[in-house]
Amino acid sequence: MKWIAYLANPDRFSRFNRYALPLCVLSAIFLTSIGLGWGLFYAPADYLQGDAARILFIHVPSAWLSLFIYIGVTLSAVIFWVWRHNLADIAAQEMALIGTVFTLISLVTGAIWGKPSWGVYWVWDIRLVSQLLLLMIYLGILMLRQSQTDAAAAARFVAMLALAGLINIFIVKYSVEIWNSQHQGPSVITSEGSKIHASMLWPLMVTAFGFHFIFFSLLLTRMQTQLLNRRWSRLLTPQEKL
Amino acid sequence: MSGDWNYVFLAYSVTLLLLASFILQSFIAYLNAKKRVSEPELEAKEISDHQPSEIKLETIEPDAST
Repeated sequence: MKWIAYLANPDRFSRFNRYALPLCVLSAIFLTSIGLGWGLFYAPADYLQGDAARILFIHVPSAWLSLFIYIGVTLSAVIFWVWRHNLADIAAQEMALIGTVFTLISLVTGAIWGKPSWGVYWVWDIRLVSQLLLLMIYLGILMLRQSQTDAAAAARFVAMLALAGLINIFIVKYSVEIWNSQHQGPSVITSEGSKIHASMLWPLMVTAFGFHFIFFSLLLTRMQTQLLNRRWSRLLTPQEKL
Repeated sequence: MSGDWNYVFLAYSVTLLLLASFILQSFIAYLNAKKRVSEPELEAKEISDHQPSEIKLETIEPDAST
């Protein structure tokens, strides 16, 4: 908790950002280009799915990120609700928007992969429906935050919705194990190790790390933007604001 | 080249389009916010807002009537 309290100060966060942002951007560019280039041109085609399996190098990292970011949104919303750190409120808002984008990417790329592999773009499968529900929850959080002018009240509602939505995260994660799903089961991390051959696992993991750095770069940039906007609006007189 | 590559290109193009436009929007918003806050008038105002107010010391003349 110490580092959260340390970074809760906007000036300290801006100083931290000065070093963290360039590092994240460079890591994102480096890892994503290597991972995607590797996956597209050097990794072998899948023996069953053929070249369509290359779509999974963007679909899987986006799907992981959509879940990871959601947990971040929930934590930030709860932190703001309990401790009233303004930066946590900003983080929750920005993470919800970035999470929406990655959830949309996972759904669109999944549908495009579905056509050559399953013969259809969409099936009413529990994994697909719960991921669609995740997109709806993200949109709900964004709308709820925008609908309230009182930040404290909005944070309370957002935290409650985000906590309720956590149930859906477990459904997304364990749906393929609990129910009879058309979507393939866990294959990257299982109790018996990875089921994927190293020639495909490595580019997947490199891209996944790259995507995470894209997320951190976007988050830091957008949080800094919000801080600057709030500072600007504080400096203006009511007449200037009009 | 198999027909699967069409789907691969479609998926990568959609992702690139979505991500690139979002990254560009974030970057432009950041530059605009930075430019707006660093405008000389606002900076000067911020400095003046943080100046301690001047305390004027006045000598109170004793009232002759008392």
